[in-house]
Amino acid sequence: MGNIAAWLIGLVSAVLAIPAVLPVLGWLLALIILPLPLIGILIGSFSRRKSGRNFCILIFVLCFLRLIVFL
Amino acid sequence: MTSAAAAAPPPEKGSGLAQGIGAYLAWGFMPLFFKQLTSVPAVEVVAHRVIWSVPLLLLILAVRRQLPSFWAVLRTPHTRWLMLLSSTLIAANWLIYVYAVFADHILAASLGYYLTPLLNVLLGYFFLKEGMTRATFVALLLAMIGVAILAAGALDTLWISLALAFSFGMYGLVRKLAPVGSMPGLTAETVILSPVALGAVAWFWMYGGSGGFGSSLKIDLLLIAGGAVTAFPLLMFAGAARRMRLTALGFISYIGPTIQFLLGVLLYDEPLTTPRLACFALIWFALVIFSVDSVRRSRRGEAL
Repeated sequence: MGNIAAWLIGLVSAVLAIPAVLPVLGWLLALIILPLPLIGILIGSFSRRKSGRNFCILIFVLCFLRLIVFL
Repeated sequence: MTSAAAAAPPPEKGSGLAQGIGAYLAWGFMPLFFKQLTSVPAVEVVAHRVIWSVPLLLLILAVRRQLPSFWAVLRTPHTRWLMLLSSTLIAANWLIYVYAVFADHILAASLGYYLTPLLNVLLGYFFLKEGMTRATFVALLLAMIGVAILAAGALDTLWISLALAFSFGMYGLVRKLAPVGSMPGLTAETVILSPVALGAVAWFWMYGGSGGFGSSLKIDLLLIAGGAVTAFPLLMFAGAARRMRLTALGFISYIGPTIQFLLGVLLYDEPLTTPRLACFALIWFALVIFSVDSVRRSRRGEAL
């Protein structure tokens, strides 16, 4: 259950992260897409299967790199 | 339902959560209160906060029949010295906090309070010889990278975050060494601070410019309300701390800095620069790791 929730949260943040690549959309979107995968990591950590958590970690790292590189 | 011991815990547990959330909501929204007082010097605000807290806290202690434990705190030399130290730390913490709100640095204050639980682990490791798990170590490392990014990119407000985190972390450490409850403890601290606070208020009364106590009814009432703003969240917290698990309390403690963060960004339009956001993101990540680890450890503790 937690694993599926983590996957879903990870997917939503991945979709939201796509428009955030455009530099015009500034920090407000970054503010949403950074905490979102973290919530996924939190939820996914309490599941026995770790794929959802790991997916959220990947999304978080990508969003973080994007934040550092673009803004 | 036959034994009182079996019947008692569930309702207590529930009310503990509500009280804990109430306390952190109050602390989170505290910048709204202090923003009303920006015409008053920060030192005067803190001095009034100390002075008006004393009678209210004494009253609460009297109602809760905790006055004997308060006298015991001041009578025992060991706790008296520790209280002197902790009152200095809490005074410094309050002063920096009010300054941060006045100077539009609520974000820096929020960062400081996010850092506190991680700093507590570090202080416990060095001063109390407490253990550190690998996950906590990774969390600390991430937080340190976050602080380093901030140091490289936005050094100007970093001192506020670090000073708040260190003063509050050290305060927690001193309080851990002194076997004192939170209400009798804070009463002792405000009583110890009150001579200095009275001196400061008298000085501002005589030599301070306009804008302080006596300048308008609104300001006077707000300064007096500072006592209630201090006492009531702590009263709720004390109720929660006795009933709630430490890990659960740790989770809801992020309500405070999160509200402050949102107030700073959305209401007061404080600039959220890239280094700042990067630092926040790393510290949030660190706190997720830290929280997961603490939940796992408490579960393991239960199984043992």
